[in-house]
Amino acid sequence: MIALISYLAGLAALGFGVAVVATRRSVHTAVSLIGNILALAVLFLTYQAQFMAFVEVAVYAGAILILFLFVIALLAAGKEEERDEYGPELAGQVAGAVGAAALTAAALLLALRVHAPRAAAALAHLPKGYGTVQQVGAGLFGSYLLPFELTAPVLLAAIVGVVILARPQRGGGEERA
Amino acid sequence: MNIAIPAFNWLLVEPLGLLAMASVLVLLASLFMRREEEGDLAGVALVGIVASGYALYRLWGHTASGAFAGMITIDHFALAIGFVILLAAAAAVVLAWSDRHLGAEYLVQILLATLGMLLFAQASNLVTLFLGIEILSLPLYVLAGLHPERAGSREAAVKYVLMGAFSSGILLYGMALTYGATGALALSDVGQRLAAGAGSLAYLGVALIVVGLGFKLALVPFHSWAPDVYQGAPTAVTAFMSVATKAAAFAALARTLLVGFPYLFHRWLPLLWGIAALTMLAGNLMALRQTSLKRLLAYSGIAHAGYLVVALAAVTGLGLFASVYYLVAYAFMNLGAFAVVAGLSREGEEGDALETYRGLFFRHPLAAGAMVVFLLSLASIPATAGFMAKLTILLAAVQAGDWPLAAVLVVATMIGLYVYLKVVYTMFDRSGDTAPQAAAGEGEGQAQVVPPAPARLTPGAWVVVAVSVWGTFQFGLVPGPLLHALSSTILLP
Repeated sequence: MIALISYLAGLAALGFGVAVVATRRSVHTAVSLIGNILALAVLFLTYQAQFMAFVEVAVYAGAILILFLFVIALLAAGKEEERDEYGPELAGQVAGAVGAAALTAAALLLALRVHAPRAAAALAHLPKGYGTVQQVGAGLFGSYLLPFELTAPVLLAAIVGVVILARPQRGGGEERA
Repeated sequence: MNIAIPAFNWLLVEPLGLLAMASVLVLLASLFMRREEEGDLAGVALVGIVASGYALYRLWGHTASGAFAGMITIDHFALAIGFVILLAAAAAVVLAWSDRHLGAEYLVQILLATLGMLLFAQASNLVTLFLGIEILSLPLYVLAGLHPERAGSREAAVKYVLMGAFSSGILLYGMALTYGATGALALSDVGQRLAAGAGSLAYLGVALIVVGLGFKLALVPFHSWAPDVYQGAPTAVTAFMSVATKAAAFAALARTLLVGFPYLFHRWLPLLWGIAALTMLAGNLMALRQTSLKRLLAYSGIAHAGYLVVALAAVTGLGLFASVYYLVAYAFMNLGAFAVVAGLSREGEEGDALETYRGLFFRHPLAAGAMVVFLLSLASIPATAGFMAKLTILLAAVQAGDWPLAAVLVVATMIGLYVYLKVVYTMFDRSGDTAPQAAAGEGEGQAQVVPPAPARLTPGAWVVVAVSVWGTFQFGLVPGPLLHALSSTILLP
């Protein structure tokens, strides 16, 4: 049962992933990405990683992508969304669809033949409490303390960088004033 | 539930902590300063870098393998690379001291990038490895685009971000496959698990990791971003990037391969051979056609990364030692060359077209003389550090039996000699004084009509040039002390 759910979720993630690349409107892309993230969250759940699943939904789907949608809405405000007049040729579409179907079939076959028995065996050996918030917390403040602390410079660098890039550009003369 | 925090020796991350403190200090102090005064904060940054270097120095002899639950390894290899990185960071700060375009944010980003590079060189776990590459990359993306009034700068930043994100993704994919194959994140654990046997997953993992790190190291075929970024970025940033990023990425590549994948060496060694030969030849051949000195130095940097990979491909202690020696020599000569370029640039506009340097000797004899020293060292002429370093690498390659690679290295060096001597010739050529001629090659040259270089170098540039000249001769003529100090350069698991 769990295996079936995980395959369905994996398929959905793949499908939405293709849609992210294939759709032409930015809103469709963002919504496809949300679908992809939700499917991934289900995958995490089937692998007993509850905390990861929750974070995936709360942070990515809940916060970041909603922000994306807001930005798209703000940028598109007052502008008529351009009609897509030159889609790919029919042959290209067919080739893409066939290729995607073949890839999906291959992935599914691989998953059923190779992965299913291994995954079942691995899940049986998981330590108690694996993937729970407590375990994640113990990891963060235990053996992963240094990497946890080192995310601070990443964020600081990103914040300062955004401030620099978002600053209105000044002309050369103004700057020296 | 109780969480037991393991007892960590925080002194081991003192060099990183001091850099982080300095960056926060600069950031906070800049809030209370006017824009024109911000340049003085370079002093704070410099103190932070020197303090970090002193902390590194105190760790010499107190090495620790797998500290912080296997996250970082402090060995003499990482410490020596750390000194090279800090040297480049100090040069970047000093070079920009008088540049009014580069304020507090420049210093903050340089300090944070330096922190990431130190971490990158010490990382002995896939998690810290990835954090290292992110901490060093994010500031560099911004730094590349710091000259907003120049179109090339923005273009450089965008190219660097796209290629950087791409390479980080490839690296991460390789790490994921490696974790899938071994179930381990610490490099030493990965190595142990792979000793028992490895499948195609691990092969693919190591190949993708080499490609991902190859992007950062600008190895051919993953080099295409380097010339554009080097040319578009402010010259002080280019100097920093070309030396420090190279040192850090090389250290990470060496540690990952030698500690994480020693049992797969028959898989990645042919890959390294191919990449090294291609990088050395392509780097030097493409440098031939450049009409911009910054682009020429970028391609020369690519070629030098190839020489480093030759040292790594020897897979011996001597090879590793040779690579560190080479990085020290490369740091001095390359920082010096870029310091001359930076010093001869007018404010906000870069004197990077080769034509600007025609007859330079008769206008700036000292600067041109120093440039000749750096170029001859890059070309590995005897009596310079570059020669000793190249000799050590050649020795390591021959000792390991890599005859074909050693032969390619010699051929590539000879092509390189022509490249560098062409620049030297340009500087002593008087014909351009009256009638500036069109650039020699059709290549990728932009500026055809160029103004003569300004009257003098900035004091900061002079300091970097002087130190670099000293280093180039010191380690070329009296290599003994450095060889002795580096003789304990070994990788700890």
